[in-house]
Amino acid sequence: MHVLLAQGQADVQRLRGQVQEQVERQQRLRMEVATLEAPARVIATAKNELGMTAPPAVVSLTPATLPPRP
Amino acid sequence: MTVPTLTRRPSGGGRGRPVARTSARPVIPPDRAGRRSRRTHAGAPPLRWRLVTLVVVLGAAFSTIIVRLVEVQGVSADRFARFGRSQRIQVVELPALRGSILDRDGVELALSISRPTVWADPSQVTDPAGSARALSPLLRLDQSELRASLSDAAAFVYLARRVDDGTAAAVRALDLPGVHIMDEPTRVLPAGAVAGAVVGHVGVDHDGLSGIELQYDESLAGTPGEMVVERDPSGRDIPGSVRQSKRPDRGGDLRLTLDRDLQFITEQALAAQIVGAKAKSGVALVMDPRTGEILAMASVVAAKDQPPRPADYNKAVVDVYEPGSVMKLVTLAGALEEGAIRMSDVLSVADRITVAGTTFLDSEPHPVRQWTATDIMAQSSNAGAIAVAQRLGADGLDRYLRNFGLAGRTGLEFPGEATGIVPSLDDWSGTSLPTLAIGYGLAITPLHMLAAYNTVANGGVYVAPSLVAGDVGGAAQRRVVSPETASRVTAMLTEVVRAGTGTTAAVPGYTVAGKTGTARKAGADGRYEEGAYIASFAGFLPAEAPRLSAIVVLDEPQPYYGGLASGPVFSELATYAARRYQVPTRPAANLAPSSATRS
Repeated sequence: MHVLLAQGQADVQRLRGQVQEQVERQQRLRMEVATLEAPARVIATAKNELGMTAPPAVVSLTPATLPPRP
Repeated sequence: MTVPTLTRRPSGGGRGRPVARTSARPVIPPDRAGRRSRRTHAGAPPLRWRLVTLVVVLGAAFSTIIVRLVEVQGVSADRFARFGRSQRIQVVELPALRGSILDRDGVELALSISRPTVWADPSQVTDPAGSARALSPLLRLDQSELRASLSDAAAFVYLARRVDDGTAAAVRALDLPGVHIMDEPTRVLPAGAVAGAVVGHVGVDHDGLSGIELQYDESLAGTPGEMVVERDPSGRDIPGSVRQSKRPDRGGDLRLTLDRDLQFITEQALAAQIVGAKAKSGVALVMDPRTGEILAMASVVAAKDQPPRPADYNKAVVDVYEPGSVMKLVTLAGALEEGAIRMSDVLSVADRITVAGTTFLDSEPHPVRQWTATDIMAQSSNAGAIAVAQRLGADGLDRYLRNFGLAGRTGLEFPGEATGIVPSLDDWSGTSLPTLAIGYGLAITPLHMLAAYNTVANGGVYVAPSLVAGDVGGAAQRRVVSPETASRVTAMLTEVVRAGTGTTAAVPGYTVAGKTGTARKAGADGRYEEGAYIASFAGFLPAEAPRLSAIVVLDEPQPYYGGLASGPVFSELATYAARRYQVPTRPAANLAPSSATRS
């Protein structure tokens, strides 16, 4: 009986540790996602690695007349 | 040793003197035998007394045992039971993970993860010098300091807190007696310093010290749990002995109204202009005027020989300044609302006006002009604004300064938030009215000023600023001026950007309403510093149906005019924000929304 109890206790502790590990892992993954999405990193990657450049100006196009209604 | 005995020779067998006779006992010489005889018969207590003494001693011993037994098992039973429990039962605190701070889209601005911390129990350390020598290169700590820590009298000493996983693994591999590793929560800012002054800081013990971290510390911190366990002398849990366990409650996540990407762009634009204009610092705010939500709130300071860096604190709500001409919005809105001036009224405006013996100048000399209220706003005429304020009167100006929310706090309740200082009407001097009418003689934050512009953008309704989603602040909404007045003031502000002092703030495709401000800067002695100005621009767009508002304030830029220094930053921010939030561009003249929907 005592052996079973001890074994159960060990299992509880092991599972508790696994839960904690997974919570920690989730937090680290969330941090990793947020870090990868950080604007500074995205801009640096776009410019330095992908060779992208920002447009010199934004042009808004406004139609002179409304299109005919269907 | 055998005991000799004395006897007498049998009668007739000798000369009557005693002789030694060999027996089982050795013979004792007469002198020694005499002494022995005296001890045995004269000094030794009788057997009866010996027995009495023995009984008394045994009785006393048993009495002591019984008294002690009664004390241990009866009188002090609880105390000893507690003592026993304290030796084998331990209460282990289970730290709660601090909640995350998110932007309006749920992106983490700050979150907590666990990092290994190296600690020691010096009582278990067998070789402090050797352990210090082994740990020093791994922990990058001074060997002598480590040795001192490992020789400490305390049972627990930190050696290195929150080290990286590799370092922890290396320390663990050393397997040094008395040196242990445990996890400690660490606050991380995944996007670096973006919005750092708003988010704030936590201390080494993970409690909020500034900013949102401090303001919402209670809800972010969560509730630590605890586990009561019985442990053997080796520190291992005794199976089946857990008495009770309370799980820690993770702190709640906090969603802000900030937009991380817009915040980043705002900080970048501000930093670039600080460099370009050689300003000391800058503040920029972007808001949704309809809801009062703050979308971006940036505070950047110049650094010597280095790029500008985020300020250590949230200057947008902590620092106060004299706003200057951006304040003319309040003066003219109040005058229009009270009927002190009409849009069609024309005033003769010189480049100076003298009130109570003090002459107030326009920024540039000019001949007397026939200007409407719109012209006064567009040209940012101090003399014209003062003339309008005189029509409004002291009571009226004071009332509108307060109704626009410039006195007191904004309701944001941000830690360290400054109170807007507007002098009491009773304390006004002869020059107070002209001074206040052009934005001097009071001290407010950039947030105060933008909230006033939001009021006009909202058709005359003041909406309290908010930084946390769902937090509507103290006084949520109140009407300050009528929709008609708000519309007229908006038209004036539109003219400022179209053809006045704020043309640099224009945004292609949109009608921008805004106002420049170029205020002299007061020094520490209260006098205005020569050549030191605070340049600002506040406004909103599209003027027809405002969706975004912003203010940009630069400290001592060159050139110092609000239109030249702050206007371009406003334009850059507004351009980005309008595209990001898909704000429709200005309809063509023949495509007015009303006619379009009717066709």
